[in-house]
Amino acid sequence: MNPTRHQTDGDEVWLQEALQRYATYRDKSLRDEIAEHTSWLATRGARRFADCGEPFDDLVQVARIGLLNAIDRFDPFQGVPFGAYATPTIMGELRRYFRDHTWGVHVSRRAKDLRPAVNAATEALSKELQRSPRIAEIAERMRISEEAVIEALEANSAYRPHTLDMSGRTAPRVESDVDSVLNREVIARLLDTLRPRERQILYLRYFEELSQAQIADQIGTSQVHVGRLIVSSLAELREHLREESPPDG
Amino acid sequence: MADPLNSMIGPVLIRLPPTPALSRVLRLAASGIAAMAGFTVDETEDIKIAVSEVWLALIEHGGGEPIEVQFSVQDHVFMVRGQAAFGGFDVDHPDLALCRTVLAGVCTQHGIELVDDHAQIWAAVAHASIT
Repeated sequence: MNPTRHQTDGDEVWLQEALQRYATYRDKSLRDEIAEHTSWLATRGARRFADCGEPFDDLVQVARIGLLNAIDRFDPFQGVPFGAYATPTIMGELRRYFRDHTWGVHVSRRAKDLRPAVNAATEALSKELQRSPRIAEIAERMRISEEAVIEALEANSAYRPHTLDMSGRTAPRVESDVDSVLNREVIARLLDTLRPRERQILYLRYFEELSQAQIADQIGTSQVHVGRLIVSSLAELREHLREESPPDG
Repeated sequence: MADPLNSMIGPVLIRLPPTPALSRVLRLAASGIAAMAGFTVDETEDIKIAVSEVWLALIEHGGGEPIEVQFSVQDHVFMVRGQAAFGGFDVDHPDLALCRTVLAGVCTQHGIELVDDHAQIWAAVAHASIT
């Protein structure tokens, strides 16, 4: 019989047994259960970076990736407490996030300030022209330089979404559509790690080959938001891939 | 006024240390060239994704040497070609699956090759939406 995590007194015992079973059988649903049981470790780690200007929910998500990695790598037969092992892994994931995903290269104040207006002009021109506008057309509309438009658009990519939208629509399963792609099992497994909305967007972009604007129309959001989600989702997939790789690469 | 899409640009060669954060430098350069050539925002976003993918894949699989990235536009096609000296480059490494999938999604053509002891990844994005 499976031990239950609802027995407070038996939490440690349950965790130890669950980690041992996971180390033996690598059951993903059990891993999720362990992650839920130990999610306070991720929250605690995220809290230590709470004053660094990043949305707390994003930090918790990053910390949870670190927690999952810790569960994957932990050897429960070594006699080390899981918390002692997981904490540095979580902190490492958070530090890597700050190194790789925040503004690694300075983004000018002007670009940050122009970003919303450039996005609005892009959306408006897309509707007027019935196609994606050129950079020069946006610059002309806004009476600013093309360089300013380029910087503002790039600031979109450097700027992570405040919340990763988990609401909503049911994403299509992709397995049968990936047949034509090399290493389909790798890709399908990776896509399964994403939230439904992000999986749907990547599916539409890379397997249905819709443009960002077409995806935006289809799922009822802006092209800019689609672009941001693609960038962040790809970063997430890459991270999963890296974590799954053997140390010698 | 000449149609920017008929213009030929480059090749522009940039050599950088293999640091992920520097992808922004390349993305900005690529955006500038794409704008000069009259590519749309949609196409430019695809180009930037391709550039990032080429860059990050070469960092992860390229052996740690500086990476050269070359941009050019010819015949309405934006080409990015990255290469790093690394004879041990495994073009069939399973971790390149994501790179292949992304490039296949945003590019007209792409390639991941080992050429003269250099890891080489290239991608071509064709202008399509304006006639």
